[in-house]
Amino acid sequence: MSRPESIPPPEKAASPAAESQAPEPFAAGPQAPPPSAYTPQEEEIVLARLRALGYL
Amino acid sequence: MGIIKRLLSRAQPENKLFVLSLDGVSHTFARRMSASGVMPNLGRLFHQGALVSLDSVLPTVSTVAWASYMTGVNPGKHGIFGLVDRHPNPFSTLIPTSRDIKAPTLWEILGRAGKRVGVINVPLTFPPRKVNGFMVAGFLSPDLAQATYPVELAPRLMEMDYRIEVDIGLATSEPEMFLSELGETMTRRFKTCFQLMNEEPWDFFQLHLTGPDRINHFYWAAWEDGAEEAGQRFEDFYRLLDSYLGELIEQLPPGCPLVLVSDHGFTRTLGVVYINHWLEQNGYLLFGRGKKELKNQHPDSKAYSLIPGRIYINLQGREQMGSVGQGRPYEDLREELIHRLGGLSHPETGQALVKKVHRREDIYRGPHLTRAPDLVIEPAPGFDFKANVGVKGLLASPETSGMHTFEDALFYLGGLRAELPGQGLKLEDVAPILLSVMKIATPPSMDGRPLV
Repeated sequence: MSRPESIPPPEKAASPAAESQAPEPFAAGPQAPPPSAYTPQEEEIVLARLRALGYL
Repeated sequence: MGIIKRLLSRAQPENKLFVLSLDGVSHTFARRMSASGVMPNLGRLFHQGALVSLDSVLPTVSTVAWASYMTGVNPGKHGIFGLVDRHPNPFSTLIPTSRDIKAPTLWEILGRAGKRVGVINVPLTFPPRKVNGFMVAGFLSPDLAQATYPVELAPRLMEMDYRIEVDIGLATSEPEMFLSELGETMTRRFKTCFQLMNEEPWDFFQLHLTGPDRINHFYWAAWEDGAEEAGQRFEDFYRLLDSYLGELIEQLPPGCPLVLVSDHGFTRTLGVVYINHWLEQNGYLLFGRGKKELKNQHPDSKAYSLIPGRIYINLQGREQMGSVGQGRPYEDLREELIHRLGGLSHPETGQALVKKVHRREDIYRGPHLTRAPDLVIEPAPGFDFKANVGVKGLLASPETSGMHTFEDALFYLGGLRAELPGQGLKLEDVAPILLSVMKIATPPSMDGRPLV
């Protein structure tokens, strides 16, 4: 098994300002949702598992 | 000298660590199974290390909990708040995946320190992120071909007939087959683990078992009630688990500490609470014409819920149906909902349905707080909060016989004779403890305490 080329860098520690109550993104307007990791068919498989467990 | 330092002073030179994570196995349940003789290997382990209970996370669902375990931070920093989440504008729901974890994971930190890791089946690891070693993603993987890092591992797992997850739908339609598949799936998981332990180099290995959570959801009440056949089958599953635990102990390299950890406690489900029904009946949740669904809310709708008990205010400028002004109107509505939801009780028995309603800033901190639900309902034990719409009433009979609890998750660290703190230990403390055992400094961004 090959060693990965790179491992993601660590996230910077949150600054004290970021830790505090950040304001809501006022009047941000509509934004496209992030792309899903699943195709629609794959999402159905996963949703069915969650549904069977009573998680939906 | 700190207790972890005392442990390390006896640790073997190779400094390996094995974690067996047991989804849904509570501290109290594990003690009971070991004391009753159902799990003798577990009982022997408990005499050879430190065993404590952990507090889980809110909301108490597996992906949020395991995200806190694997990052050592609270949801305000890792950004996972439920098994489903919502995009506020335009409204849509989505399933968070490993891509949505906003903090480095335990195995990424270990990899950067030069440690080889092997991780099998931990929830919220799909799609598998790069690690210094290998990763088999957990139950949110749609298929095995996409579930491994590196991809070359998948064909080997197929040869071993490894299974991602039991067909949970069988639990109600064909219970006998469900129980059989649960045992078989766990068997294949252990066999795969043993093979990879022997064939691949590793410093840190984690095998995650989802079977305990699954059987607890469907057989908890039968076991508690002492139901003759179902209770016996339930214990048979744990006997099988214990026999593999014994085999695992034999296969561990000499001196390699074994850690057991779970994500939450478990209790009997008393009833389902449909919180969107309550919000609708009380004028907070309004729907537009057409199909009754959350993406079709009326422009005057003020609040809605996602499972389990997460309340979102329709805040102006944030949500698609932003009807509630920022500042005082938002705070007044939160205060009103905290008061009214906190007083919900069972109409027949008078039992409280809610333990506490939390403002998000009281339980989360960090850069992703703004994506958190505005309020989080902590249910009274046994009441399962759902977000279905179009249901007939606030309460319904349980869909499953067992459910999660915030308290009473399990943590066991082998080889440690000293006492761990008796209470107040949290799931996010586990990653710093494991890093300490591996002699790696805890990143300052972690919330958890390394206990050194």
